[in-house]
Amino acid sequence: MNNIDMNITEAKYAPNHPITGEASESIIATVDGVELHIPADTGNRHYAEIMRQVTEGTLTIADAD
Amino acid sequence: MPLSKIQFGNLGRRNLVVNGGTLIWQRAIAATASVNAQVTTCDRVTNQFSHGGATTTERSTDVPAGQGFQYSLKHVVTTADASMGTDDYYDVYQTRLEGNDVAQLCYGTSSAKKTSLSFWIKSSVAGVYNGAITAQTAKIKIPFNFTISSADTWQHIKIENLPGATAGADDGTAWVASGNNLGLLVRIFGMLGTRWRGGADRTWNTANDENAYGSSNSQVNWMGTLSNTLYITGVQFEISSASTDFEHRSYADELDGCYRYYYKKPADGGGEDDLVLANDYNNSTGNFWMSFYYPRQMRARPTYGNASGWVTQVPQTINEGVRWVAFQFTNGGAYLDRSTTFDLDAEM
Repeated sequence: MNNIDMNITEAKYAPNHPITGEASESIIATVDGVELHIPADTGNRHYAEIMRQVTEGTLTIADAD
Repeated sequence: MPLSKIQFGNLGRRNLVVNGGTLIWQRAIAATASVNAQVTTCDRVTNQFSHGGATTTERSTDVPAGQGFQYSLKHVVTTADASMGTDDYYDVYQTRLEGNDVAQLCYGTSSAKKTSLSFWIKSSVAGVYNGAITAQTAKIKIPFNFTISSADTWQHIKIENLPGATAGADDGTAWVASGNNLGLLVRIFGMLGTRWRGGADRTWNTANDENAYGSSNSQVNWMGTLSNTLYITGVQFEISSASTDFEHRSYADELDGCYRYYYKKPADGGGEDDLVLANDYNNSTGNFWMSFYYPRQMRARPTYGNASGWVTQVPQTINEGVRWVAFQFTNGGAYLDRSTTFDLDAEM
C-alpha cells in the first residue's frame, strides 16, 4: 500500500561532463526492468526512491562508466 | 438581481482531478498490461496492486449516455485471482494530486474544507466496493464505500460531504499539502483484503491504521473471474458538501494539465524530410548540444526514458530541467525527427 513501489535493480552515475570532467549527479538506473536517466532532483520520484534505498543500505550507486 | 437568485451553471475549475474525464491517453490506448505503481494508459491514473492475478487497461468508447464523455478507462481481468488474500488489493482508480492544487483544502488545520467525490462506473461484478482519500504519507486516510447495484450498468456514484481533515496523524506526521510534491491520493478498489478494510466510514483516521483504506467488510473480489470488466470515467473531487455536474474542461486544458506530469514526444510519421531539431552548438570538438523544450513546465525535473529513433547517434549526456532537456553528442549531425520518441516523466 506504500505510495512508492519500485523495483530498482541497477544504478550508476551518468557520465561526467564531457568538457569539464565534472562528475554528474544524474543516475542511470533500471527501474521495473526499464533503463531510465534520472536527474538529481528530490522532487523526482525515481531519484527520491533511489536515495531512500541508498540511505537504507539496500542499494548502491556505482561509479560512472 | 441578487446573486442568490441566480442559478449558476457549470462554474469552472471545481474539479481538482486532472483528466478526470479520461480524455488524454499519451502512453497507450490499446489493452496494456497493468504495471504496479506506474501509469500505463490513461494519463494521471496510476496502477497499484498486490494480488495473484493480472489485468489490462485500455481506452474504451463505452460511456454513460448523455453525459458528454468520449472515453472511459476499461479494466479487464486477464488472469483471475479467485481468492482475495488478506493483503491483496487492486486499485481500479488511483490519481495523485499535487500539493499546490490541494493546499486550498486547508487540511491539517481547523479551517479544513468539506469535499465530495463523484464518478461514473460500470462493472461486471455488482456489490460493495471500497475507496479512500489518503494523505501523501498514507498515514492519514478517510475510507468510504459504495454499492454497484446492477452489473454491466453505468451508475453515478456520489461520495458527498466528506469532512475536512483538521489534524495530522497522531504520530506527529503533519499534512504537507503544498508545493510540488504529492499532496493527496484518490483511490477506488476492486479488491481489498481484510488487512486494509474495516475503518470507520467517512471518518478521518489519524492513527496510521492499515484498515482505513475501506469502511466495508463486504468488498467484492472483482479479480475473481477471468474477463471481468470495469469501466470508469467522470471522476470529480471538489470542495463542496455536495457533488456537482462533471466539469468538462477543454481538450487543450486537460492536455496541458497532463503535460505537467508526463510528456511523450510522439512518433508522428518519419523520415529525414521531417527533421524536428538538430544539434546546433559546439564550443569544442566532441561537444555538440541540442535543447528540446517541453510543451509546458513540468512539476519537477523529469526522468528521461523509452527513447528510440535518434538519428545518427544517441545523446551521451542528458540534463533534464523543468522547462527543457539538453542533450550532448560527441559528433555533429545528430538530430531528431518525427520518428524519434522519448518519455519525460515527472509523475508523483
